[in-house]
Amino acid sequence: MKDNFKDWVEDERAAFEFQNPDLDGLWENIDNELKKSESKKNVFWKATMKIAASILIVCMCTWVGFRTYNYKQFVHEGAGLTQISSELAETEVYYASQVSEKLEIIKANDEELHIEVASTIEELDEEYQLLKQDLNDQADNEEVIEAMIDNYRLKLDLLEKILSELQTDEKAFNAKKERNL
Amino acid sequence: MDNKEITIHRYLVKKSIEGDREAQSEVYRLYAGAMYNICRRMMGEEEEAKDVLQEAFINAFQKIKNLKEADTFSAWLKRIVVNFCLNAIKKKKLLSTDIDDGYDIGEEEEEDYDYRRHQKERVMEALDKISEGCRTVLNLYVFEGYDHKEIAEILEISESASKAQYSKAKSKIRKILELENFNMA
Repeated sequence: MKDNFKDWVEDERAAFEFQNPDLDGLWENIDNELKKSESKKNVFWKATMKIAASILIVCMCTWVGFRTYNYKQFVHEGAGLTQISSELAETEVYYASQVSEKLEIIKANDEELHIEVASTIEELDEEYQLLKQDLNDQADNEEVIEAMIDNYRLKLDLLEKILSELQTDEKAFNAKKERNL
Repeated sequence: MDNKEITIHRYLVKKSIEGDREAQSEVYRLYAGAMYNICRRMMGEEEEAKDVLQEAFINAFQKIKNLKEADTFSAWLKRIVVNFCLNAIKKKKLLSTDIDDGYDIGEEEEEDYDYRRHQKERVMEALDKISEGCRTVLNLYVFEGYDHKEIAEILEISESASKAQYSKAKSKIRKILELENFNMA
């Protein structure tokens, strides 16, 4: 549709523009407002970061507290080598199984001897319990752990000696039996 | 704009997007005049136009980092300026009542009316005298190049309401111009 007004404006557009007043002065206001909003933003971010940091610290404290509580509980309940590390746990399991296995062999061979040996092992067990206590009291860990392992070795040495004596006795008994025949 | 100018504009807009205040200052100087004219036409007077222009530029530079294409800066800025003008007009609570008054105007006078026999300054003054609603539609349609469909979306009115407002605006301008001629004669 014919539009005389629009056509006229489009033909002579520049002549319809307003004279610009001084607009440079406005930039100062714009610049100031932008700076203000930026510093507000910075303040906001700083506040947010502070809150975030506080939350983080609270979380860390809670975590540390929880860990300490757990550790104390773990110490309170008593720790063997099992709780120190998986490697030491394997060592403990190995020695314990060796000890009980050898005790079983002695028991099968000589009931009386077994009672005697078992009481010695029990003494060593008591010593082991004391070492455990040391570990709980946070005494020098490495030294205590070594002593714990030595304790097992001692038990095993003892049992092995008894077993080898039993075997020697058995051989002597058999030889004697053969001679008598 | 020649190619060199386009390159400089694009460079300044890109630097502005990165937050370079110097570049933003240059961009302001390049666009302030054209954007002022939009505000001046829409607001009908100088001081309000300057206030709106200032607010629009502050808003634009605050969110310019979200602008993905430097090439669309001009249209993007213009839309912000137009929106700020519309909000300012709405604040004055004149636009809504004016737009919806359902004024129906005949077109018969329009086709042959010779606007060109009037001085442009008189036409500009007449524009300032008509109601906000009529002026807004006329400005968006004639000066800012939006079609009635776009105006309908911007102003949240129907397309036919936009057309009716435009006709009404022209009719009012014609009446003012004729009255002035009559008084001067």
